[in-house]
Amino acid sequence: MQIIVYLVIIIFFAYSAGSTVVRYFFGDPKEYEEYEISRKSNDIKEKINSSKDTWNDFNKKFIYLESRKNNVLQSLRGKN
Amino acid sequence: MNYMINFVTIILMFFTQICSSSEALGEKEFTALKDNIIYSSDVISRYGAKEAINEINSNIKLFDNIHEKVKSARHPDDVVNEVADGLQKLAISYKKISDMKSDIFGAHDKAIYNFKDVEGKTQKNIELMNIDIKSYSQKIEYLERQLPIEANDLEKQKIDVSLKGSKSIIKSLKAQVVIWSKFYEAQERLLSKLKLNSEKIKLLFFILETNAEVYKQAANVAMLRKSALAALDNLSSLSDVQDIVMQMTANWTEVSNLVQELSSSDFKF
Repeated sequence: MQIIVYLVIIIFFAYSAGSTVVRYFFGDPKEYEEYEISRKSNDIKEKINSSKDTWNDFNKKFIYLESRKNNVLQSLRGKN
Repeated sequence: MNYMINFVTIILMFFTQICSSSEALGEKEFTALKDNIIYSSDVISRYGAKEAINEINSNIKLFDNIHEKVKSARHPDDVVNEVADGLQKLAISYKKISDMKSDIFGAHDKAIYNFKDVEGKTQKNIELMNIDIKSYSQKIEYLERQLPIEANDLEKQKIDVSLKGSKSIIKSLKAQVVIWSKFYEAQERLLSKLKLNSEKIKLLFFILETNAEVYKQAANVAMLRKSALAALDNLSSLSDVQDIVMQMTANWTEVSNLVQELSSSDFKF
């Protein structure tokens, strides 16, 4: 019975000492997660504020590029 | 019996007051929520577009150059290297854009989550104001019953003032409910459009991914057979992407109109 009690105490202390050491060297995982979320949000904000280009603008450019590509292909066909 | 009714009314008023203990949101919060929605809409409308447009722009220049060379060439096979190179670069660019999808749709998911949070807050605020209206209505009912039976003139005046005050509060609360309800409806319309557009961007990415592979293979065939025309055979099966993209343009116009409508909405009543 006494051995079991000692074992439980040892495991408890080993666990808390171990997790303290891990936190000391690698940082708190929860804090890291929060930091990552806020970093990602800041990245998104920065990207959004850096340009007014929209996906609608992209669509227009995309259609224009496809038409330029088709012009090249049509000219090729015409040469045949 | 009268005392009993009064007692129940007071208990009911007390209960509804407890339910609405958290304050209804005001003009400052309205503006903050509106800004939050516009930001979420910006994320879906703009995030990643700049990088994708840069890729497209570099290819427009490239194909303009190739077109000039094709026009001045005597035989199509004289420009086989240029055509194959152009298709290869286009394939790389389309692949680069489609590789951005996990980053872009991660940002979209966050924006939609943020938008839903605002919707929840708006809905909760409408509920709180309706509870307040109910509470003041009960108070008015109680005061109106008290007024004719009150013997003391001073107390009668107090009841009268309180009655007028409560009626005025109900009027402004109802006006606020109208504003917040309109705000909620606009949010619902915008959110459904943004979700649809996010799905359309997914489709666009799928088209780009497929086209990237098709162009890559067409370039390979052209290089292997040393024939620019060989590339054309492989490109003939491409689906017509223009219709899809035109539909998307119409959707973006609707989103832009809804955002403008929301931006110009204010808290005046």
